[in-house]
Amino acid sequence: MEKAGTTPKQANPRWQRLKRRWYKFASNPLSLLGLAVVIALVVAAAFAYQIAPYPKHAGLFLDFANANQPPSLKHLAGTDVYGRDILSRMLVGLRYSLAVGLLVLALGVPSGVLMGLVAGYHRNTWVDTVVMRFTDLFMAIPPLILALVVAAMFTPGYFFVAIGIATAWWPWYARLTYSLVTSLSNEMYVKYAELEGAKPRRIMFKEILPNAVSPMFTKMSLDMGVIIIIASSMSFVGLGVQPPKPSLGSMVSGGIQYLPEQWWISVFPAAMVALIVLGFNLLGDGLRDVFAIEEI
Amino acid sequence: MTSDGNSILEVRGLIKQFKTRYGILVAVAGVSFDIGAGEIFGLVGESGSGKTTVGSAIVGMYKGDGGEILYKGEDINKLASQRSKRSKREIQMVFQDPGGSLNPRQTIRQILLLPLELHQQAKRGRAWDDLVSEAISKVGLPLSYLDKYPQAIGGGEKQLVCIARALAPDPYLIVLDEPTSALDVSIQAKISNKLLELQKEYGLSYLFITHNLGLVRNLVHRTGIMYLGKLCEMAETREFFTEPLHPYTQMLLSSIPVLSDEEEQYKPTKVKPVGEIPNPINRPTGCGFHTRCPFGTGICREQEPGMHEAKDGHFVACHLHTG
Amino acid sequence: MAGDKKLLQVKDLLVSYKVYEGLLRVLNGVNLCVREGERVGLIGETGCGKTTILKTIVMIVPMPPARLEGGVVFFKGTDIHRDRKAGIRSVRKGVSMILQDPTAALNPTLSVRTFMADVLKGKSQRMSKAERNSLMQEALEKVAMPFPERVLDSYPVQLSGGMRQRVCIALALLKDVDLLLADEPTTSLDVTIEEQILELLNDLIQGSKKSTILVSHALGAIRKMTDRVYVMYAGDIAESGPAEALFEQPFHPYTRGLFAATPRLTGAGISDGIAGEIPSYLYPPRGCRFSPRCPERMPICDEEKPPVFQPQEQREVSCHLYASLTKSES
Repeated sequence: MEKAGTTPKQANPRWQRLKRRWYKFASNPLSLLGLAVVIALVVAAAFAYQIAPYPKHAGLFLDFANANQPPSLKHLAGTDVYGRDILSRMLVGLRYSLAVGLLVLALGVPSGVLMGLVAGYHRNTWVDTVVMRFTDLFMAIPPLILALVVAAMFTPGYFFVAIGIATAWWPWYARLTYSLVTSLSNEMYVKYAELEGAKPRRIMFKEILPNAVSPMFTKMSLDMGVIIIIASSMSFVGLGVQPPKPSLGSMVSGGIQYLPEQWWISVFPAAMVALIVLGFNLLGDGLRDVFAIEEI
Repeated sequence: MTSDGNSILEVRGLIKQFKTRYGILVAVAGVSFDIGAGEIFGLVGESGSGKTTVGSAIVGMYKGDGGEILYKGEDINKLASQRSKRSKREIQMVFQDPGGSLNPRQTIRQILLLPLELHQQAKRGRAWDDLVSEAISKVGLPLSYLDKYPQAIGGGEKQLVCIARALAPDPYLIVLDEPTSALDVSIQAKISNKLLELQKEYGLSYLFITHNLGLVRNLVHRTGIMYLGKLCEMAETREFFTEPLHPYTQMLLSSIPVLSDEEEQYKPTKVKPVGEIPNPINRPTGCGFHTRCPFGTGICREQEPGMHEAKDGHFVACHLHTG
Repeated sequence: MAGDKKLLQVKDLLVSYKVYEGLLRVLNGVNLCVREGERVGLIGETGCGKTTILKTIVMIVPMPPARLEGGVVFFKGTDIHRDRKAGIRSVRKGVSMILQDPTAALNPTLSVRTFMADVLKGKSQRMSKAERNSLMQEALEKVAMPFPERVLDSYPVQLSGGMRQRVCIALALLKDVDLLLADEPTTSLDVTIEEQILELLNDLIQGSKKSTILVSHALGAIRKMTDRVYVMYAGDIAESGPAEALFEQPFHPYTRGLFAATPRLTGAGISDGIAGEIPSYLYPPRGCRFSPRCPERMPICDEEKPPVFQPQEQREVSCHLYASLTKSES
């Protein structure tokens, strides 16, 4: 126990900050739920081929004898019209969905942030005008349509779905970064660096950017859900992963004609999408609370 | 205009204005003073007097719209980015808000390294580590603080870090804009004394901008007071406080709340302001203070008084004292 | 002068905050009272808990993470925390507070006119627009606001910090309350305006039955404006007494250190402040919370929290140095 009247020795300050953040995060059960769901999904996706009861069903497979079976102990989510196990296909489809999400973020976030950073720091100059109007251009087109158009330019495949969505997505990160950076540029420590003669590049990347990063994590997490839905919508209309490879969106669209008798063919994949979105949203909300300013 | 002829900073007729929605705001309307080597010059005034703008112009945050600023003879009336390396290194600053002055994502070590890197004091590596350790010890903080983040230390200590940062590049002149106003009284005392100690040891010059007259009385060698963008009075501190000549100075000094009856004796007789507070965008004609001055006469409304040396080293801008 | 009836009484107040690292024991058994028509000053530096006390009195302290661990707050004779609903009603009606940060206190989307109208409507429904208007103008003129008409139609962002604070003060004065709490009301104002406002607050309180608690670290202002003063350190009341007497002759070593650290107009230089820092509220010292920094520290100071002694009439100190004198029964 600590001796009264003394302050406990500070362990690594970074570690302390992390521990405090975790405590705040963990105090909300919903955030923990979100985190658990996301972790479960990621693990399931990573080991999809190992966990799936019928991994072969995620490819070319026909078994008409077993087609359209309702959920049972043998096929927990039932089988589809070709006799393939839906659960296994969902797990593999999950991989693609998560991969698309990550890819979109990996492509869209750095480019968007970079644009916003440069425009925000050079506020009210021609750089600002050019970059932000360019950004506005992309934002003026509805995201789904833009994504569809771009993806359709290439041969179908999930990689190009990701590119399509990223094209529609980066402007939002640019905007977010822009507003963060414009207010951060007024901080005294930035002014100090300027007065001392630091070059703009140094100021942007070393002084401003590290302070703008936190809200990004929240946004990225919340975005995952939306991106995956958009990707599913695109598979729904035939872009993205091509048959016989499963994708959640195409599984839903494929099963619509069989509603409501063979409801499991559409409902389970749709439920998985909903679960993914829920998990990331709860996680994102939890992150937002954590990074909010603390007050005693 | 200094007591000794040894000035390192000369300000001549500095003017700075800002365009606002309602008109042109002349924040600094023609200010002249010198700061000598090893001298602490205090610039006093209420908010809106223009004192902070003067400091900002000297430091290079703004470019004056008129007049001159000479540092060791070199013209520095330009933005910091246009100035010579020497002036950028030798003129340093400490701001009012210690929390906002330090990047929360950097350790104290990184913060102290910044000016060294930018001014390339010595070869990278060992020498810089030594300089950083030296800087933090100079202000009396332990070396263990170097690895901490600003949030982990208190307000007074943050300000000490800012001072260490200003000292690191080996400056000649430090501009301090309300360095202790955001701190508690007991910490103010510590910081003020530390500033005094450092000044004596390294022969620094300070431009000390504040509205705290008690601090000025005890820290500053020479004091200048500003009102509505102009200097009203300038003298050696003791003289300034015991024999204030300008009505504004008298008004200010007579209304300070003090802690003891003994101190009440040290205040000039009460001068109460009359009339309206002027609108800085619509400057009053003649003397800027005439709308509130209880001693104003006709000429005060028509003609702006210039700075006259009423006594040896004691300058006033007032028609009552033009000899 | 002040009546004898106690408008507000705080007894042995213990308030803590739950945080990640544990429990912050902010208020350590605070005793203070305000009589009718009395002006009370509360001196203390950042982190001493003065804002927490005010917030507890007005019941705006967020109850998690804060916890009322002990003690009572009596307002007009009733324990406000026992029946919180009734307590809140009573406090909202009878107490008004001026906050430290005027920018945070004013809703940026409402104009000044709306604020004032809201307060006036709360006071009495039957007032014509013209009457309200003239009251509003009057209130702003009282706080030396330039261009009151223009200000009424402005939004807080358009006003300077000093003007915002004056609006807050005007709002607090519009509401006819028994107790006015002011948390550093003049910190952001210029010295000459500060004086005017201080005089104004003074005029308002004298002669009416209004009481005030003025919290400030501007010692000179407190001396001018209050009848009785409490000095707080790290969640404890260090000493209290009539303002004039306390400033002439402080008893507690903390108060002495504080006054010595204040730069004087005599030009005698500034003392070195008080060594050390405020203690951690997580692991506060067992005995007197000031002992680690006290120049007069004695062994007993580390062991026992000092009780309250009365070295003189109306003067109370919580310090072992005065143990030989009568223990007060408050």
